[in-house]
Amino acid sequence: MTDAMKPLLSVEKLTVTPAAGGAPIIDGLSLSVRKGEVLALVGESGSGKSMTALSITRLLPRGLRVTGGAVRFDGQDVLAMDGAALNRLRGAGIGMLFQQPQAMLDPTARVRTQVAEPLTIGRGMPRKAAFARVIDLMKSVRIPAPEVRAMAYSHELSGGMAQRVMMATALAAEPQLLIADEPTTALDVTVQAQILQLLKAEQARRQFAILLITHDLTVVQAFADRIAVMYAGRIVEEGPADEIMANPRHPYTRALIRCSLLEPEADGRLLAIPGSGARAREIPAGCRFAPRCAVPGGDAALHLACASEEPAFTACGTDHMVRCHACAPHLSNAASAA
Amino acid sequence: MHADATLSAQSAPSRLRRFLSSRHWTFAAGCGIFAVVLAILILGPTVWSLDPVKQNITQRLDAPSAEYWLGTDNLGRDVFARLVEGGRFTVTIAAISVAISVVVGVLIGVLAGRIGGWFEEISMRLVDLLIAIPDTVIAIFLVAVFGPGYVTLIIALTIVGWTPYARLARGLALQINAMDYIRAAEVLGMTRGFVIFRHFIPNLIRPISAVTFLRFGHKLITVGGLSFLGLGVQPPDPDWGLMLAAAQPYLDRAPMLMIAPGLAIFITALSVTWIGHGLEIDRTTPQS
Repeated sequence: MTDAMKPLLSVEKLTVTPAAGGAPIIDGLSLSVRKGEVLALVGESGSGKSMTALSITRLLPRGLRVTGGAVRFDGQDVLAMDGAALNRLRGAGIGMLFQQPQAMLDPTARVRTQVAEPLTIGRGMPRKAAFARVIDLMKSVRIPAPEVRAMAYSHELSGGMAQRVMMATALAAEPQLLIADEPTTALDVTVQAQILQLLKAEQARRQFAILLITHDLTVVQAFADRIAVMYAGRIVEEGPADEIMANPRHPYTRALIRCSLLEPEADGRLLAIPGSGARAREIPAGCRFAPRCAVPGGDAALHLACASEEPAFTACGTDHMVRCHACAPHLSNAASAA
Repeated sequence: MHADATLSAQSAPSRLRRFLSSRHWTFAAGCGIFAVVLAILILGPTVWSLDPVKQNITQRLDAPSAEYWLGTDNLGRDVFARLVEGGRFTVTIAAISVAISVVVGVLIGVLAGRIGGWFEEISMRLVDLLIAIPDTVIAIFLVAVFGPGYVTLIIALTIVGWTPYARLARGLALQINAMDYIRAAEVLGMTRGFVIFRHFIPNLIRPISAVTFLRFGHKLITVGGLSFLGLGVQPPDPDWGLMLAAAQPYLDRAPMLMIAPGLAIFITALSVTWIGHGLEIDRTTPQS
């Protein structure tokens, strides 16, 4: 196995459950990100994307707990790390970007103080040197007039500018993996593209891996190497970005793609996937997407299979995995067995 | 882009002017009055060479004059000198007890809000317990055990004094804990202590300082009250409360003896209360 093939981050059968008990919100989720690779984790609100990101860095909110599975980063067991090792992991291994960049900045500190924190606090760099480095970083994320902006407070920045500042902060720590949780959702459409291009450019230059979390498949196509589609706490389809976009197999993926293209249907209306994302408490017995799925149509055998048995994650083509009865070659067996 | 460039480049005086104009006029008035009071208390003895304990038996209970601006008391001592010296005691004692209360209360409150668990449970139940006891009762108890004095007074005021800050700081810490910039700091691998001192404390300062000034006014009155009852500062050291108590028998012959310390307490307490209110309410943000 070459170094490039070795996964930098591997999540295996991760299960996250409310501490108070109840159904898991992430259920046996597996994914891996290789060095320098961009993986997009796609799904609608409530599918568990953000919670996946937070469990990778062990930042789950108080009410949630990892109850099963493993998270390995660069060969280390993240779930077994103590406080100091976790701080090192977060400081230098994994960086994160979030949805509300302005809220990510402390209103009481100047921009340069916050961008410098990974350097001054994390590495003990002298303040003066760190501030000089901050200006360089701010230049590299194309912040105009970085010397002026460095002295600003968060309320003096626009959303796009704040996200660039957050990017500079994340880059200051020189992470091997950057988890970007809907980094452009809260921004103007015109700014979204700029931020993504910048992210892509920095990724190409510094060769870190990105786990991009989004619900917008149009964003993903130009940006990601691989796509993993998440539905109700599980990965339902995964493969190379071009393959997924050109040849989506799971009905949920297909619907997501059609939704994000914003192309009107035959009757002139925009497509909406009927129903809403399955909540942890109402997970159906069979396929989790079955209640919203139109694929089985009049096929009674398929209907039965979808309603009674959860499909396995099986290969359908090179490097393309899908969790759907309709795509599985063994469907006839499953149907006849039932 | 131009807008925030100019914002950042704004000079310090204009920031101050903007801050003042966003407050009610009483805030500026309170600051002004309190500054004058502090200046008199700090600089008074060096500027005017006052002797608060020198007795002049021939000039007892004199009316205000050029020599004795506020007259003399029953032992012929300069009331103005005693007012300045007494104010130094009263304000210092109130300030020390408030300062200790703020530091202890905020630390306990922030830790309770941030760490939670058994620490939060124990500290907050302790707050519930102590907040129900008036500090006068604690002062009476401590004076009975240790005897009266400054230290006793400060301890008596602090034992209960920290509780409102702890309660407020915990509530604010819970709010701040839900803020994204705390997540951002955690994501960057910042240590617990750093997050508390870098992010929690600075964001607590505004609301805490408002309450601090409000409670400071309250504490001034309490110090005066305890000394008035003989539980605080002991003669011959002067104190506003003590001066009030000593003035009682001479109210008809020398009203200034009572008016002076009474007004001093009133004006000082009013000015810090105005400051506290001003810090609390920002006129430029709509109130919910």
